[in-house]
Amino acid sequence: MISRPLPPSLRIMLLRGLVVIVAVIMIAQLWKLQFLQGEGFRLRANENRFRLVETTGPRGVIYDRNGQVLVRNRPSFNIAVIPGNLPDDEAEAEAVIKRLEGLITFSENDIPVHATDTVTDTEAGGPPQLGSSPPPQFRERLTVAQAMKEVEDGLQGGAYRPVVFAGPVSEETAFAIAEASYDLPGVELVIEPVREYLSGTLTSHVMGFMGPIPQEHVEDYEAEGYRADDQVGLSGVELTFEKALRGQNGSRNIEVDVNGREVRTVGDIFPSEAGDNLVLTLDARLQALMEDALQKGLDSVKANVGVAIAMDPRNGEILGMVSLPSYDNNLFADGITADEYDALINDDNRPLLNHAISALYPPGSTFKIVTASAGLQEGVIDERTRLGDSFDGRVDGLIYVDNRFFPDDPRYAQPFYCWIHTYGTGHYQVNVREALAVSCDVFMYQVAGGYRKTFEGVGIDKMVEYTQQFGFGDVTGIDLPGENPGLVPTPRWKRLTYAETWAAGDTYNMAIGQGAMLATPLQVLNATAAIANGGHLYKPQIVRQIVDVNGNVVDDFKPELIHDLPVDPDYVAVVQDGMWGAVNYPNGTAKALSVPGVSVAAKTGTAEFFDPKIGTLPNNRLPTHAWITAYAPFEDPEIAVVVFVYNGGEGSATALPVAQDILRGYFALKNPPQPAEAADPAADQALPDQVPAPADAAAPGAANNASQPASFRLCAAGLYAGHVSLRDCDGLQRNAERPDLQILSCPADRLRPDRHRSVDRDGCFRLPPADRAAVAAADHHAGRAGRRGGAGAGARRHGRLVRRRCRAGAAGRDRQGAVRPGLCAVPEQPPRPDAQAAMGGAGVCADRPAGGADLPPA
Amino acid sequence: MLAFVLIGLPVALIYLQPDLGTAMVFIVIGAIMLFAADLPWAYIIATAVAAALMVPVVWNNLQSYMQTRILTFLDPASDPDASFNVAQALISIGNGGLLGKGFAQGSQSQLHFLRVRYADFIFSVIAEELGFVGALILIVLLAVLLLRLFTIADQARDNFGRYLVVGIAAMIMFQGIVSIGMNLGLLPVTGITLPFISYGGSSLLTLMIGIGLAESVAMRSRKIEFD
Repeated sequence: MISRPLPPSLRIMLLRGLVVIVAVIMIAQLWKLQFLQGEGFRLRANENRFRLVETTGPRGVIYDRNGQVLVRNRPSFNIAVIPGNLPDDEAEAEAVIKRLEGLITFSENDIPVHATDTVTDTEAGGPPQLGSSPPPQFRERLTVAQAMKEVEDGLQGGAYRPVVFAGPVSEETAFAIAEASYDLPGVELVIEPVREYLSGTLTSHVMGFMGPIPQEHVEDYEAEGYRADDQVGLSGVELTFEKALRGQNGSRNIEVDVNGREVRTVGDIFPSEAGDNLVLTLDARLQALMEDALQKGLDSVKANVGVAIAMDPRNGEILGMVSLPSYDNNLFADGITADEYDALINDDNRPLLNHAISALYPPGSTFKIVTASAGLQEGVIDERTRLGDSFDGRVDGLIYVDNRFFPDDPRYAQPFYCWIHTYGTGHYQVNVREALAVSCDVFMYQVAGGYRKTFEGVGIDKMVEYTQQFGFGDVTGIDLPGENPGLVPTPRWKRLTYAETWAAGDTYNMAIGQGAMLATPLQVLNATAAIANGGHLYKPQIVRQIVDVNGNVVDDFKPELIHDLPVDPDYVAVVQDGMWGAVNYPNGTAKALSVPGVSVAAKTGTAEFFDPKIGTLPNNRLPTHAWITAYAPFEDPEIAVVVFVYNGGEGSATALPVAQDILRGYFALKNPPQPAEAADPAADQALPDQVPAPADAAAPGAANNASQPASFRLCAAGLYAGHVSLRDCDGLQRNAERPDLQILSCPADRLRPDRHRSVDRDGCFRLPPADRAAVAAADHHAGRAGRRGGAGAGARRHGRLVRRRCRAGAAGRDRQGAVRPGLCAVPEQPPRPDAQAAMGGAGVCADRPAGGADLPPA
Repeated sequence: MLAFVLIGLPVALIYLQPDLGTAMVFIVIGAIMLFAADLPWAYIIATAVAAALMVPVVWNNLQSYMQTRILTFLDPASDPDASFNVAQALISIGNGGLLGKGFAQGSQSQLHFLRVRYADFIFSVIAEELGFVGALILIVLLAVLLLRLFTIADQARDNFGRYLVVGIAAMIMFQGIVSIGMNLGLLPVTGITLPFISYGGSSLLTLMIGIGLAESVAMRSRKIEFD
């Protein structure tokens, strides 16, 4: 088929032109986009693909003093919904959330929906919240409707910001949801680190817990760079050391796809920093042991509340702090349910409260160390002053305070009882050591408040002053939140509070730690520790070191002296002797307390209290708290303990066994039952100790024995020489042949030998405390560690001994008489080395060689 | 008038599908073919006026998503979520620069910021990954192809061949212009694909058949030289 071509078409030319024009327009637009506006678009492309993601700096770990981990971090699973990733169709989105809820409900039935609401009600109407326990974090779960609303809101703003649908869920739930993620578009598993308290209830009061920032402090925290939804420490060291523990959040640039899913990390711009780790002064083993002991003590009297604290009196380090009942702070880490929280805050025993530092109780007789110190220092009594209940001729544990307005009419006089009055007797006349040992109330009444017109006491103003000097009425400054300063009543306080005048009876009550006097167990312990260490009031420390993540020590806590007691060390020593006596005198209130191989000093307390819920007991008496304070070893105290049992009855019956368990446990931990020569071989050479272990020193104690200062085992008659009979001293007389000793007889007539004899089972006299100090000084010269670590201290105490002996001698009693009811081995004058050496051997029993000969010449 | 019926029937059916884009393609193909067929200018003007008058009527009968797309094009700020795709397309193109991010290296496309990147927004991908140069070459190639097709149409021996080729050219031209224009933010978003580039076997097959037909016309127009 042949035909001529059609003529060129004008219309087609036009179309060609159109093609060219359009192509040119497109290229121009392309040029505009890629070059003229290219920079802007490239920036936006980068914005699209890169996200600055905050990386959480892990919070510091907490160790006990031996490096055992007490708190660490573990992952917690939250379920979040990302509104932008849900199916666009609303019904489908709701179906996804319903499916999600089904999964969670299936595995976590017990967690109530709306936990938060319920609890707000409880908080408003429930019992008053404790200052140290702000509202914790609750497990929360949104309902489907709530979630949908949140999603709607989210779609308006940040469509890719996760909305937390369910708070911490169990691992199983988390994994179930992860598995079903194909069916759950827009649902994401958010993993956050939370605290894991390995020691749980054991240390919860010290550790505290974490939670969301309290509403009223949000601004303060935000100023510190926190985000509003950060978790912060709310109690315990978690709160006080929040700054150190807190990890520094870092940020990281990640490339994300359109759904916000991370594709890869692009450089680590600001690495997060782990928080510093804490090394506590606590010993977890001791803590566990203390808890067991205290629980046992509570069970024995069916009490619910109790406190046990152990401290190193040399530096104020808290070795253990138990407050029962306790709670599990892991509940807070996971988000506590409303029911669990209700149970905690509605518990009458207030498990959230750290009773050791936040609760106030009358200190009772444990307070007598203060009264005694004040009396001695103020010169009201000296160590030989005898006071008692027999001014009226009756030994009945009863004295009277005259009525202010009718001082001469005995009918108006108010009786003040000693505890022993119940038993139908009194303590007769006792000196200060004995008064502490037997816990004589009458003695303390008189020291503090005087007695009629015959004896002038310390007086309330001075009493208040000394009480405060011992740390009462003010916080100790321990690094734990919620410490209570306690109450030291003063005339002014009474006037302002009750509009009444301070009466002599108030001073009497104060003398024995009763009346309005209130203290925390920690204050009682700290005052005891100050006596134990010779008069230094330290700030109790709970943290030893702050260590950064690389192990460098950031902060090393040094012992912090609050102040020295305004009490002469000699008088402190007298009080120590009294506490020693409480354990070692036959009628000491704590004589049941024994720690094999360790000398212990203690003070019991049985403090009356009034609780409207308890009222009075059937015998019309008030219920009592059981107290004991103790420290050991007596020569060189390294642990001081306070035990408190709420409504526990007698201190000596309830608190004492607990303290005993704790002390025994402490020394068993310190000196594991092994051959003990490792302890101090040099000492054994310098002063060979061949004393056979006493029969009652059973297995662990026997091993401990050798490592204890030999001085304790030395036998001599000393301070209370008059307490022992001639017959008891038979074994000692042979040593009297020592030519370098001057033997004094002791005034026996002023004491009652039958009641104050203090004899060891092996037939040796127990070396009374003061004399042991002298021996320790001798030990020191022999190359041993002397008592309180210095020749100076030893010498000073030695000097005191001399003075005392001389006074005793000056009493004119049968100075060089043939009959020696006791041996007072005393060097003539200020201690010379040889004299001290002599002291070292002074009281050595017949059954052991004298150590003196082995001592090197100074 | 027969032409209108022939075009109108498939357009109506496709519109009921509903697929505005393809319906438009058919209308445009028809229009251009009529234009190339030396339709009197008076008719063309009359049709244009009629179409303009029809706009309100058509607008009210459009599917709502179609309205949205057109509104979004006219005012991108009115619906940020809906204009997201267009914005991402522009960002992709701008991100390309002179030589692009490199093949399969475009962050916008590889990270799925671009939706339907294998079809509607394929041009943006090319612009991002191959840059200005790549996109330029693509446009020029399409333009050259179209010019060649119009040349074939011009040289066709008979009107059938001419109109056939013009129709094929119109299809490619319209799809290309709309697709690229949409990517460049010059035209509203429609579901129209970029000829020869976009994913889709039937589209490619149709286009190849079209080119084959055009080649056939070209072949026959040259045959005379052998006579």
